[in-house]
Amino acid sequence: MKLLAVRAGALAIAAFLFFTFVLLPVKTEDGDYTVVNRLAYLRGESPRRGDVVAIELAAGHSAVFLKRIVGMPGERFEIRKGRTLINGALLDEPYVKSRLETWTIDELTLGDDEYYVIGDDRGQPLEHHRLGRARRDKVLGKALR
Amino acid sequence: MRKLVATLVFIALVFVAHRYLMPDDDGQIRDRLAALARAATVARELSPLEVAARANEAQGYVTSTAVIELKPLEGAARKIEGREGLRLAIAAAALRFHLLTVSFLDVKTEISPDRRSATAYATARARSEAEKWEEVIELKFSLEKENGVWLISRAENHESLERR
Repeated sequence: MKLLAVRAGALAIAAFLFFTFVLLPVKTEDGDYTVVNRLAYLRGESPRRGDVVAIELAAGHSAVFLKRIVGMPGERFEIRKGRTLINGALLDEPYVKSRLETWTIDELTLGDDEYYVIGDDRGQPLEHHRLGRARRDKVLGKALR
Repeated sequence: MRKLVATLVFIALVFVAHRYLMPDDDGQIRDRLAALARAATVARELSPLEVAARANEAQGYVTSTAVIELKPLEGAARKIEGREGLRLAIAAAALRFHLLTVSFLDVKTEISPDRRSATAYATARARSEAEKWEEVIELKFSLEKENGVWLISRAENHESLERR
């Protein structure tokens, strides 16, 4: 009985550590749930363009933004007529579900530890969409979809 | 072994009791925000008396000159001024929603060195199941300590993602 309790306790601790530091279940801004791989960028790997990542909010990570990386550190980023331009060149984005030509963001240069992130559904007006610069330390990990 | 376990349990109980009975500034602010969320949770089926009670309770969590500026992701921005403004806003929400549930998923506080003012960031979730509507927004609260009590002097949207 005592051994069983010890094993159950160890299992519970292992599960807690696994679901905190390896696969983190999170709630997205849309109310859905997903799992984030927190080890994806730990072994010297950096987030890559096209990765869907979980962005930590200011207060914590009970809820996160789930966004796609479109702009990399140091790059010039711009949206013109709904199309993304990186360093002045059009970015091929096959994952975009819908887009509005009214989307315009003047050119900006990303900092050394900044990524530009946007969701794939760009069918709503720009002001109804959450997008923008995210610091590297706010990227919790890669979303498993 | 038993003595050690008993001692550890006792220490844990004392710690929990201390945190519960004598919360520090961080704990007090979290308690206030949680209470505000409960007071802002309203339903159409509540009696006018209950709505009034909740609205009156919420008034006690803000300063007399508090300004609350909220911009939902979709929809017009809303500015609520003072305690009376907050009371009316809660009463209006009770009429509009079948059931509006407000909760703070996360709260992070930054307390000034003189412990007279503080900033709190919160991930707020407002949900109306009947209307099939849910919104998660980031909020920034400015708080002041008046007569030993933390009161909200300003609340506004906070954006972790910077567009420009």
